[in-house]
Formats: sequence, C-alpha cells, structure tokens
Amino acid sequence: MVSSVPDLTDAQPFDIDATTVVGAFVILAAAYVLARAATYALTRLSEGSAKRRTTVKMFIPLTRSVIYAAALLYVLGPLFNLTSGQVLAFSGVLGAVLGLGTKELFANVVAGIVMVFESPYRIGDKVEFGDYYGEVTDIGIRSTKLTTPDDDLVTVPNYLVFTNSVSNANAGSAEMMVVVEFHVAADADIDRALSVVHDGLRTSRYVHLSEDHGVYVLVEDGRGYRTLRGKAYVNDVRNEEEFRSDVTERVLAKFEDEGIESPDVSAALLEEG
Amino acid sequence: MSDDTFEDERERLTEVLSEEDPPNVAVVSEPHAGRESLVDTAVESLGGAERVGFSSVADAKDRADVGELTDAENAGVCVEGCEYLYTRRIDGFGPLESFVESVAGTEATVVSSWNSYAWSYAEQATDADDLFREVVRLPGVDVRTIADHLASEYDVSEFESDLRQLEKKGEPSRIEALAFERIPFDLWSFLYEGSENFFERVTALSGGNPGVARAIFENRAWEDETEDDGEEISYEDAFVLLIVLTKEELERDVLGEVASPRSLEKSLRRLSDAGFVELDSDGGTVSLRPESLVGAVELLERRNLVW
Repeated sequence: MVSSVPDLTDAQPFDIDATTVVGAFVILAAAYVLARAATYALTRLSEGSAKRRTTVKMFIPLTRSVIYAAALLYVLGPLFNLTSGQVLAFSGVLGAVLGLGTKELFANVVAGIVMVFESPYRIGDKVEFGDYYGEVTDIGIRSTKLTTPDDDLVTVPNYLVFTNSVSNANAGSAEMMVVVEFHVAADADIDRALSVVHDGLRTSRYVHLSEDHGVYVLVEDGRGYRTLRGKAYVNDVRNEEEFRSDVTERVLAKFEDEGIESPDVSAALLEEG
Repeated sequence: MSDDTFEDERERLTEVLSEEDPPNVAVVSEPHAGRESLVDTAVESLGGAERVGFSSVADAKDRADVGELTDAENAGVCVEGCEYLYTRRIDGFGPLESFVESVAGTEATVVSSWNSYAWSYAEQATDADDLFREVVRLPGVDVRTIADHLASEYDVSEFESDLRQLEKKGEPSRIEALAFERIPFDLWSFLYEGSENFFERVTALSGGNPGVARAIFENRAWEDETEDDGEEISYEDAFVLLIVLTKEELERDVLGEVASPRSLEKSLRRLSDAGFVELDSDGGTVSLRPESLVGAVELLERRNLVW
C-alpha cells in the first residue's frame, strides 16, 4: 500500500523557548569562530608561495559557506517539522522583512551564495569593479572586499557583480599581464627605442616568462609623438606596481643616456584636440 | 663521476651525435650536477671535437663568436659556461646574440653546456634555444648513486651501518624504480628528509645532486639546524640570489650592473650570513655555496623567480 503524504496537521508543534534560542546562538557563534579560524589557517598557508596563494584562497569562501550552512541547517532543521500554521506565519514574517527594505540585503546574500559556485573571481584576483581596482581580499556572504593599490579597503555589495561588468586581470593565476607605456618624439630612433623597451621588460626582476607569457612591444602613432606599449607578465599580481616602476625607471634612464627624447605630450594632445 | 651515472643521458647524447648530420645539442643541469662528464662524452662522440669554455661574463663578452673559437675543419665544438653569455640588463644580450648567429653560420656541430636556471631564462627571453634542437637534461640521482659516490671518494666508516642498510635493500624493485621515475623528485626528497638513514637525508638535502651531496659531506652541512625562512629574505636579496644561482660564480661589478647598486652590499652580506653565498677574500667574486642549492631554489620558487 503506498504511504500517503504526511498530513502537516499531524506534525508536532515546534516549541521555541529560551533554551532553544540560547542553543541556536551558541551554535551560530561556534560556527562564526570556526569559520574565522579556518579563514586564518588557509590564509597563513596560502601566503607562503605566490603560485599557491590563489589556489588555496579559493577554498576560503567555500569552507565558510559549508560551516555556516551546516550550522544553519542544525539550528533551523526543526523548522521542517512546522505545522501548516507555523509555515504560514513564517512566510508572512519573511515577506514583511523583505518589504521593509531589506531586499538588497537578501539580494546580496543570494548573490554571495551564487558566487561561491560560479566564481567570477577568487580571493587573490586583481579585479576592476566600476571605478575601483584592487586585489580581492575577502568574499563574504553579503559583500566582496578589495584592497586598492593605495591600500584603501573597498567593500562592494555582491549583487553588483550581476548588474555590472567585472574585469578580472589574472583569473586565479599568480601572474598577470601589465602594460607599460612610453612616449617618444616622432623623430626619435624608433628601432632603438623598441629594443630598449623590449630589454627593459624581459630583464625586469619581476617579469615572468614562459611559452604563453611572452614580451610584446607595440608602436602607436600619435601626432607629433609615438607611443610604445610594452606588455609582459609580472610574476606575482602583488608586484604589479613595482614591475611597472622598475621597467619605467630603467628604460627612461637608457633613453636619457642615448638621447631618445620624450615629446611634450600635453602640447601634442592640445594640437590633436 | 663514474661512467654509470647518467647512463641514459650519455647513451642518448652518443646516439644523437652519431647521426649522419647531428643537430646542435644543449646539455643542461643544475649547478654542480656533473654536466662536465656529459661534455666529455660529447667530445668523444664527435671524434675529438674542440672543447672551449667561458669562465666569466667578461670572458664571454670577448669570445662569443664560435667561428673564432674553433677551426673550420673541426666537425664539432663543445662550449662550456654558456650561462655567461648574457647579463640580465638592458643591452645585456649582445654576446649571446653573437654566439647564436655564429652557431647558425657554422657547419660544425655545437654542443653547448648550460646552468639549468640560466637556460630556462634564456630559452624564454631569447630565441637561443631555436638552434639547439636536442636538449639533454641531467636528472636528480637516487640514494644508492649518492651513497656510491660518497663511499668512493670519502671515508664513510662513520655511516657504515646506514650503508649496509642500503645494500641490504638491494637494487630497487621494478615498482620502486617506476615510482622513482614517475613521482617528482622533490616529493621523494620530502619523504627522505625525515629518514634515519644518513644517505637518504643527504639525498634529500642535495636534491639528488652529486656535487651538492659532496659539498654537504665535506662541510658536515647535514648537522646544520638553520631553517630556511623565506619571510626573512627580501625580494631584492632574492633577486641577487637568483643572479648568483644562474651564474654559479660571478664578478661583483657584473652583479652591480644587474642588481640595485644602492643595496647590493647589504644584500650580499645578508645572503652570506644566511649561508647562501660565499664572498671571496678580496671581494671580487661572489659564488653560490653548493650545500645551499636546494634551499635557495625552494626560496626562489616560492617567490616565482624560477620557473
């Protein structure tokens, strides 16, 4: 005989008393402490190596999500045994909470859960979010934290990921491409300038070279000057600014030694404009 | 180095150089790993080829043209010290470019010998590798080979029991030999690090490098309790260490062309105190301490400075 669907009116009522509330609070607090400890341990482990950093940090939001999900399930499990009246009451409360203006918070939390599985970026990635550019240092359930090159901490609500474009410079790799630009006068020895920029990139102490990560120098013509755009990969996303500075300093010193002149770019731009 | 060491690599080198029109070959190994013995094999295989070498960056600057290094009648030439052909700075690749052009223009078979870290960089930064179709790399050797080397050259009576323990184990089983080939050597090293057997520990400390194992034995470096802590080495110091690693020994003024001259002296002092480099008494040259090779490479790998 096929068993019938259980009648919710037969369910045992769920009693919420002080003990239950305290117990739930203790479970959630323990989950918070465990999640913080796991984050700390994984962060310490990841900082030992540039290559390992993004791989290990990838597990941080996942680990936290599992811990919090387990805690929530344990605490809210008895809800599955609610009576139909209790379910109705809970739905009403939830609807009121959302209607009272916390829908953005709910949207952020949902976006945070989706991001754990979809991973548009990971901790350690260099991303551009609207006006902000920096290293992702934390992916929380509600927001993502970026540290900019000027060491500012920017908190970005998660739901913005799904309503805006996100540019990811390294997508989980330790290395990323960096572009360094130089302007030279139109009558400068362009071949020599190209050679100097090429050497400057491939000899940098921060460069990473491989079959897939070569060095390229492109020339663009502007009115009254030329732009040399050098592209190469830095060995660690955290060395981006140092790489750019190292190449720029050495190339400009060589340009000066050899009389390769930089144009007055502002005057040239005014002429163009 | 005994004839049994690197038997496979010698066979391959001999086979390649015995072809009717042998290609140019690059012999690549870690510092102190014994590539000179492979060059001996190459000289023999080429029917008594000429053997030349660069002893420093300055030396390579003046003599980089292979055509000037050898007679036109010679069928082959073996060139050692190719890591000195470039300096990692703007306009530092002139000698290497001359060398490559002259290799392209000669009829002779050229066997070049390189420090593996210098080769990895030159391979990616230049097109020098295009002219060397065959690359013979020396692998790390196993614990029995290390033990045989040390026993044949030094008094190892202090470790007689460990030697007998290895001999009792006998030749590796087929499974062990296969595992050794398939599992990365650094994992084997990791497994050997905590071993009670002296020879297994030395193999781990040397990374299977016979020259490094000899240096460890001579300096009793297995008793060194200093732990390598990458956090203590600044990026600037790590870069200076990288340059010394790629050249094995170089002049201080050449190092000054590559590293920041403002902080070079401090970097060298710190690296010397940490046991990575040796500064000669008149301050002219800097060399890598062989027994620190494994620690140096691990530190540089963590910084993504070697690939």
